[in-house]
Amino acid sequence: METDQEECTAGVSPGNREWEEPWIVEHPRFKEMMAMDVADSAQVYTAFLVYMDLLEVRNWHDVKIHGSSELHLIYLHGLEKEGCIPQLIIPTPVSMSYSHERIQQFMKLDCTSDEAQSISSILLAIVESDSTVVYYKLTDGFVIPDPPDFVEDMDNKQWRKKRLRHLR
Amino acid sequence: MILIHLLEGKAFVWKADDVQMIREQHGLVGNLVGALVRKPRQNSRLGLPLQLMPEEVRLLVEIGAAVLVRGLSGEGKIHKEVALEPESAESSPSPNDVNDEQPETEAYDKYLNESYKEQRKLALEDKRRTLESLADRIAEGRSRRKRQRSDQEDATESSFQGPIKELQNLEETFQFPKEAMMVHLPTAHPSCGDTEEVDMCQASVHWPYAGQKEHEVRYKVFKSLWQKGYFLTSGSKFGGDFLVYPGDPMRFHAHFIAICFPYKEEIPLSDIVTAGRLGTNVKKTVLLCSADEGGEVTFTSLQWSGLQ
Repeated sequence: METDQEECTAGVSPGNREWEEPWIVEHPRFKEMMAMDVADSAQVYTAFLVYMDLLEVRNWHDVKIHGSSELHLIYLHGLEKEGCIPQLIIPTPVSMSYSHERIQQFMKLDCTSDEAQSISSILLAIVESDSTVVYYKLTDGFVIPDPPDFVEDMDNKQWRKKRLRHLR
Repeated sequence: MILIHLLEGKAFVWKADDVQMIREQHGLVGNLVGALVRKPRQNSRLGLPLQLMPEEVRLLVEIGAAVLVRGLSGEGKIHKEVALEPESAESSPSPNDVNDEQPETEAYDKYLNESYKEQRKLALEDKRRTLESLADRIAEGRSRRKRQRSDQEDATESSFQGPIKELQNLEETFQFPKEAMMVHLPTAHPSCGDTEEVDMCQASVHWPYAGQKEHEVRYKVFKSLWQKGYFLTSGSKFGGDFLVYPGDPMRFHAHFIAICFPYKEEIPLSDIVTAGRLGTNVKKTVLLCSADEGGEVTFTSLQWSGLQ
């Protein structure tokens, strides 16, 4: 049943699908995502690319597919390494725009899931048109950045100059 | 009370004491924009006046620490000239101007004269004290020289009178050239002239920020961060609205680049990528800041995530 439905939707909008590889459309995970019927095909395609990137390129574990009918998107859940805290990934094409309000809604997705986390944060997976993925971590509240590498740069004259300039 | 002078929508503080108070007591930084008198050909270190961001001005006024004023003297002159033009454009607009400035110049000349007198008195006392302390040695030296010049003559008499003679006439003979006088350079205008308090709730040519949507968001974010104890400066050099420091900017690196957005306005992802990349390069966290209508401020940290 599911596959039939899938092919139906695929047939409805062939123009949008020209950029998709035929094997992707056939991929069971892609079909699974489409079957959730929560997001438009561009977002589903993006989600699939991110899913593959996480599993095949970055060797993530336990990557699961979720759908949110409220926010109209497919999102992922996974572990960077075994034993790590599970992270929530929002796949999105680079051409999108999100309001701050919506970004905050993404974070609440995480809270509704089983794992109770003290800090709510998400990974925004932004997919370029050439299918490269960049990840941005979004955290509610303030995250203090890593301190500058003092030991490494102390003797570097250029760095000292830079620092002087920076102090201005 | 700190006086903030408004000039064409820009706010300046001219008194060094006020600048210090703004920084030390109120935790606001501002931006020094004046050239240093002794080093005018550089711009890495600057001096008075201190320029304040509109948000800093509003905060200082709202907490009752400062008054926002603008000068009327310039305007008054323009009005006068305009009034003169139709009647007697050729006759002489200059006497009016001179009259305007004269009391100020006179007062300054008077102040200089008084200062000269005072300094002359001090220098005189100084001279006398030096002479007195050296009197014995001077007398000794003179008598020795006299003895050398005329061996046979008796020199005991003159040895006594020498220094006394100079000390006696010191009041008349003492020379204190005007060029040697120290001139006090005021760091603030001694009298403010005519000023008018500016109402910040009403948008005007001088204060165009009232009611501006962008300003409202920025102000709410600014105030919220300031209340958390952060120090803020303008973030334009990092492409944001504010740079957020955990303490005085002289002692700390900025931790955050704050960028303000209305809560419901769409942010293009390319902007998020741009800001995030830049923030990572300069080891700062990008802070997305929003304020909704109710005044509640939301902060979200944005960091590039390498993932190996």
